[in-house]
Amino acid sequence: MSDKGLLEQLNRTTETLSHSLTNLIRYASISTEKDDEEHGAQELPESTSKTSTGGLMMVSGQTAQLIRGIQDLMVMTRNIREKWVLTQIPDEKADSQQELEMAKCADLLEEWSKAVLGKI
Amino acid sequence: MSDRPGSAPAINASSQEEFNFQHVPAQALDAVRMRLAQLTHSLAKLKDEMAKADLPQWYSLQMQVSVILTQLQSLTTTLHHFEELLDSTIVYPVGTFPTTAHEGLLTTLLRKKNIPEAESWIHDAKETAGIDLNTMSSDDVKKCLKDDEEVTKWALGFLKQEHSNYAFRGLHTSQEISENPTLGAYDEYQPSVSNNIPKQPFDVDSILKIIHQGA
Amino acid sequence: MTNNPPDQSSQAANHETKRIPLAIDPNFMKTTSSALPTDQSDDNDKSQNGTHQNATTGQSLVNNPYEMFGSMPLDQLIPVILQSRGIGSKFADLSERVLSEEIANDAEDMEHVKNLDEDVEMDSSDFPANADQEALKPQQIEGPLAREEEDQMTQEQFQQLKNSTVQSLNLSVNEASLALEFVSLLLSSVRPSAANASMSPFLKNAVPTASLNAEKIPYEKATESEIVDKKLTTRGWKLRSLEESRVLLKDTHKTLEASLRKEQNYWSKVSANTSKKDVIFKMKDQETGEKSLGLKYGYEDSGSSYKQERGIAILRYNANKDALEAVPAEKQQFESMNRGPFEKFMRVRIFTKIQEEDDYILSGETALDDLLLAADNSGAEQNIRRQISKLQFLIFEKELMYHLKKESETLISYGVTLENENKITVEFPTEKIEFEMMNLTDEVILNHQQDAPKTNDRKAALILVMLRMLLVVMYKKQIRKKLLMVAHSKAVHPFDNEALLLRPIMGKFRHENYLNLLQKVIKTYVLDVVANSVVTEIPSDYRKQNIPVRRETYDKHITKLDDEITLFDKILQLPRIDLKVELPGSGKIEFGLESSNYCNATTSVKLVDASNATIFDTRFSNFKELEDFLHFIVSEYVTEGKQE
Repeated sequence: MSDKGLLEQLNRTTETLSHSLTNLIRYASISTEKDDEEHGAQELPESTSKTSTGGLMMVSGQTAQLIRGIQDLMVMTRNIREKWVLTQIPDEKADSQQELEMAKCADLLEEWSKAVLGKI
Repeated sequence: MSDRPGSAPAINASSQEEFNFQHVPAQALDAVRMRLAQLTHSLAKLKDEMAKADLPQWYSLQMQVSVILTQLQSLTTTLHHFEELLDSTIVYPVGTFPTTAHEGLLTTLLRKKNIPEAESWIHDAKETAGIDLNTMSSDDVKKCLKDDEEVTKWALGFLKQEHSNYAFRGLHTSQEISENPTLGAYDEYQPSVSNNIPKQPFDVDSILKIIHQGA
Repeated sequence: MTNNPPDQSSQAANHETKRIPLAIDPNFMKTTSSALPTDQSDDNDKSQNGTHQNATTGQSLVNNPYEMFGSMPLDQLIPVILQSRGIGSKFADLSERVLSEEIANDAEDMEHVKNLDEDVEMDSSDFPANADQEALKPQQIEGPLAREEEDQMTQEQFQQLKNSTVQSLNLSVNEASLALEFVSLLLSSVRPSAANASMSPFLKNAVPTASLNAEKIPYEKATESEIVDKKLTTRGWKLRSLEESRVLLKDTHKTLEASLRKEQNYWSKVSANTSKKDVIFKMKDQETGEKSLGLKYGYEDSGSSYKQERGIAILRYNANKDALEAVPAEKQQFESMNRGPFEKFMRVRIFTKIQEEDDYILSGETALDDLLLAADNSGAEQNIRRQISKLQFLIFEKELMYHLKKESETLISYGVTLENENKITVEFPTEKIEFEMMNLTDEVILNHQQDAPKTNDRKAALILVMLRMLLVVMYKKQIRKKLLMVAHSKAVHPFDNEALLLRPIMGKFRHENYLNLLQKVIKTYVLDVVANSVVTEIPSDYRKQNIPVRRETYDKHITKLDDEITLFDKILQLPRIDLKVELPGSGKIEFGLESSNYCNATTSVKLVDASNATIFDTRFSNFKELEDFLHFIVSEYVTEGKQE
């Protein structure tokens, strides 16, 4: 997923999260909000069916959205972590091994021959 | 029930008397009917799925459940919208209803009482409310309820305020935007450019070299 | 939910040939009634978990292992029992007390596991994360492991839940359809087409359309008490839903937080301890079934072609020790195949011959590498880099032994014996060198510091180091070959016939011996006989091997490899030495001692007389013949000449 896509997803998810929380609370209210047009004075209580539906929505709907949002964020972080750790390419100049000093190595090898054979 | 002897005279009867159907709230009923049909359909589908010997995957079940929830939600909203209208309507059977044959059917169709499960749920809910009508006076009760509403309103207001504190899109914080309104007006995102830009186009000689000599 | 009985019996039959944990599992023997065994031991193979172990009605449809093993003769039964308990158990250890303890432990584990998973199960059924996006988790919440344990929730419970769901669904379908009928019927008077679409056939047949009529009554506002009543119900209901939602959120919060913390630890450790140069990739852990990160510690990218071991380790997070562990992917498999412990290292020993006793004493030994020692400071042992280095060391040693063994097959005629699969011995006239793969056991680690330093320790160490370097040279040659391979039509053949590890070293020793021998021969037959003869060594011009013309167009990597490989040319070249014996007044004899495969020796003799005419130029592979020939030459040509 591209960087821009990730950013967008992050924004979307956080916004959804806050909306879900708001909605959850809204569902929890006992009295309904009324538009100004209808029945300005008296507040009608919710019908039982509306209550029960509201309750269901609260639990399964909004809570689920909250949790799903968080899980999405977790998956996203995991994605990003993976990308970071797994797609590193060694830099040719910076990471290459030290150069061998050929002359010194040749001398050392000579010494080896002498040491091993000399003691025979 | 092969023959319906009552139907022929009934039809004659209806053709004679014009029933006044003007009070049937057609629009409301139609809306409700549509939603209700959808809901029934999905519920039936889910029931069939659950009744199968090997259950389908949980996420398909979950999706169906959420679909049902949305449908239920829309149904309740329509009902609520037409609540007043529907509340003030009374249904009664007309003469054409074959009461002799299907008396039970009529009572079932027209009953308004909740099924016992629903009754028990409502009862449980009342108990959970924790307010005993007998011990508290009605004023106290009303006060309790009012406090409840206050709490909810406060919570909502708080959330709304918090919400406005954040800028959910773009790359600047809400504070920065409030200070400098021109920020975030356009899409500022710059994708990072990698350092390894391949040489273009490929060189024929180098390709041939690779083919013959290896890397 | 019944199984095919043949499946069950064939599985049981299969298990006879492998481990048979069932038979000794006392839990299994209880099930003669219809219900599932409520606690299954964890010893059961995973395949068994998938199939429901329904002993159906206790008939002979199921192979009753109790019967089967009850009638097995004792001498067969005891090995089976021991085998199922694992290697290293003794029958004498089994006692009633031990067994009952084990059963109690298993039951506890089961409880524990079940409790854990009730939460897990609820989560997984309620909140699906998008299945595609779950790339990798240190502990999958809805992984295959959780699913197996979900099966262990008893069949009854599951059925109960399912039945209640179906019942509720039934209710709801009934109510909804009833309402639908009602509404349609009522609507049929005004909009018959729409109504007919949603009415059931039963109703359509039973009741003619437009059988219900409605009347409007003036709207009654709800009374106070009704309002209050409704509000109370609402409040109660909503409170309950809030409570439920709160519980849900809290539980998920707990699990998510734990999982997050674990992940955080894992990833931070991984990124802190590994660098860009490590090869890391996603892998599935064989033992636990989780997906995790793996690291390659083998040398395949450096030119090795060792196929016996894959060289990958899984980076597992150990919550108890709060550390990363690198566990080789095949460690368990390796050890279970009775190849001995996984960790072995090579040791070189030199034995000097004692003339009198015709026996050898240990005169030199390589010491244990620091990497293998248990670190003194506690933190360092757990260090993942140290673990990785250790794994790399071990696989290198194993590969070294592997190539040595293959090489020794061809060197048998030169005194190399393969004593067992872990030991190679090379014999020389005065000493014996032993290359042995030692198991890295604790005793070895403890004992190493107690050895007194011996005379030939350094020599042994030098030999081991040179062997390792030569293996690296082999790698580099392999890489070079790969780099220069043009069309990869055939696989790059590993260096089967090019292993040059022991040969050059042996060659050097043998060459030295032969040289001494030759010099003795020369002394006896020429120098002592002919007066004033002097032997000198001709410095051989280091024969520049046919280096292909350095093309400037070679890639810099190839030139670097070439440089590194040519460094070792002096060690790897075929030994050769030239001697010249000046015979005063009669010319000279030139000797050339060389070897064609490092280990044999051919001597070339060239007799040039005073007038620079070559009289003889022959080669000998046998020193006896050489002696005779020298004797002949000297007596015939040299002394004769003198006589003339």
